[in-house]
Amino acid sequence: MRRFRRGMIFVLLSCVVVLTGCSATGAKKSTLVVLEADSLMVPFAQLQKQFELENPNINVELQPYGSIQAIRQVTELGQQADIVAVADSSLIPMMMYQTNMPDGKPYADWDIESNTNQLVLAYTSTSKYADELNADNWYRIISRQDVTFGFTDPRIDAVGYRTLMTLGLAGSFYNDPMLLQDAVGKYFSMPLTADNENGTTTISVPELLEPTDSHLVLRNADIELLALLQSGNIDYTIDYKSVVIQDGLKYLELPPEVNLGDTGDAQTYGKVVVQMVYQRFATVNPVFEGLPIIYGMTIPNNAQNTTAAIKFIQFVLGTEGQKIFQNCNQPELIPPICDNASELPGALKTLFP
Amino acid sequence: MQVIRKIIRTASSFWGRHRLLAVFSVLSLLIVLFVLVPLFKIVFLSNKTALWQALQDTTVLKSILLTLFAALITTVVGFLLGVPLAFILARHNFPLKGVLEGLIDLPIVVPHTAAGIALLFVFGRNYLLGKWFNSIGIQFVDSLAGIIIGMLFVSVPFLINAAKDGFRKVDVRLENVARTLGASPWQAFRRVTFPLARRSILTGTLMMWARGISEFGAVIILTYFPMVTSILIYQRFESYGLTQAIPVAALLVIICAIIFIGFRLFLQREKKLD
Repeated sequence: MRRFRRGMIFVLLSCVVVLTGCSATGAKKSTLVVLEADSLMVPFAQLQKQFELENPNINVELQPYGSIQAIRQVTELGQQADIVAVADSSLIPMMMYQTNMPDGKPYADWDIESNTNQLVLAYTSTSKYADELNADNWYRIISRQDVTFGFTDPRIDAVGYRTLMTLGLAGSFYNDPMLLQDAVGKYFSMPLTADNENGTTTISVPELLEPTDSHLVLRNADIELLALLQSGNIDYTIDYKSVVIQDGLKYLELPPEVNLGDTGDAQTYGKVVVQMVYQRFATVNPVFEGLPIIYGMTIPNNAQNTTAAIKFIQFVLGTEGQKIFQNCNQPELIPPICDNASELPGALKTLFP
Repeated sequence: MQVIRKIIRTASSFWGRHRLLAVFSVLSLLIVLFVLVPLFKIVFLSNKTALWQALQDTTVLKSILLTLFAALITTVVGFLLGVPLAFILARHNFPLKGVLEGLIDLPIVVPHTAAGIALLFVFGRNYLLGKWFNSIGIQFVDSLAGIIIGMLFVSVPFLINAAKDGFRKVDVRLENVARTLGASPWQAFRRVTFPLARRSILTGTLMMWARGISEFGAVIILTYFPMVTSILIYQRFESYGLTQAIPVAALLVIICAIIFIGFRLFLQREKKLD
């Protein structure tokens, strides 16, 4: 009996090993490792499906991270990726051009910018004062102390510093210079300040950023905030329109002058700057200038599968790829832009004459 | 020549006598290295100045103390609620007991982000338990209570399982003897069963506490501030890069090493006294 049972366990275990093993192997394929911003998950999943259909010998491996984390995976943790695609194209020059690989070359020296997005105010039907919310009073509602406003940590997440930009721009747009202070600034243990000089608003984020009141809820990424919103633990948050729609949440569109989604308003956006004031770690003092939301992607210089990466980028920029983005509410940037086009691999150069 | 032959003979007779020990030692060495090398690497990757800085950084110290404290409270709660369950599971049979035992292990398997979200939908301010706790002034978002339920959910199975095994090893006849000698069920539990199962329970308690300290995924959903150390390490890494994150990790490893080694030594002494 005992021997029988032992035999059964052995058979079961072998089944598990064989089954899991089978799904893992298969025909010889090359793997394309894509580190993607969280807000690209939905369109990239569709791109992956279509791309793999057309290129059956390529296996696309998507790894979602916050944009900053995606880059740090490569530059700090030494992960070899074939494509890095982030929600803020300015992060690539800031963090990848300026960091060198062990052999002395930078991790990347170009980036392609092809899609945009915009910020909206997300809420649910149970959010406080949702019934009186409109495009003229939203900033006053999120400033009320009994309303819980959530946003991502601007020190580590693009939506976070973009939220501050939107609030800074809203201050000028609605002619309410205390808007940023009233909505978020005054609820931190160390002051988060906005200084207006020559028409440019500079928002300084202190090193210690801890809310002192339950009016504010900070998280590391918007995924957590959306869970808090859906469970009614926060009333409002500002997030990408595409993500909010994908999550089936209610949202209020913000005026183009503040939503960072209109490339035609780039000049207006340029009037706000978010700077991190890290006194102790003076070597890193990131400054984020107000820019339209533009996604950026690059092939790191230590990529293993450059051929497949080039094909994937061509696919993203092509009609099929852009149709997917369109359906995911991440409109195409017309025309796509390339920073440092002279450094592009040959096959991509033709796209940016 | 003779010497070599002698050496070979000694070696082969040693091999003959201690084959099991030799094979096991080699295998053990592999797993010990696997665990220790990365830990040492974390400690030695950060230079002394960086470690010293971390040690003087009040944010870091506060966060480490908070983490140790929250995990401690979690363990006390887990102990009070988990040990009775372990006793029932070890001593009594009831319908669907196997199912219950399987379900209790689930928090170990469930991705911890999912665990955090699940807790949010139970302890959130719009849900029954959340509302009730809110009425007595306890909130679970951005609070110590949030850290505790996050840690409790993912770590309590370790204590329940260890305590259950401990109670199972205690001979029921000893309890029965105590009962025939006039002890009440409470007395039998307190004087006989619990002391005999104590070592397993203590080990489980330690494991639970340790698991609590390391938790990230479930806690970050519920509570970003006050910031536990796992989240602080992550935030430092994101904002400043590895050079600022590693000293914090190193400090946590060193402090936990001291506590854990101390605890194990204490357990060993206990065993000798037994």
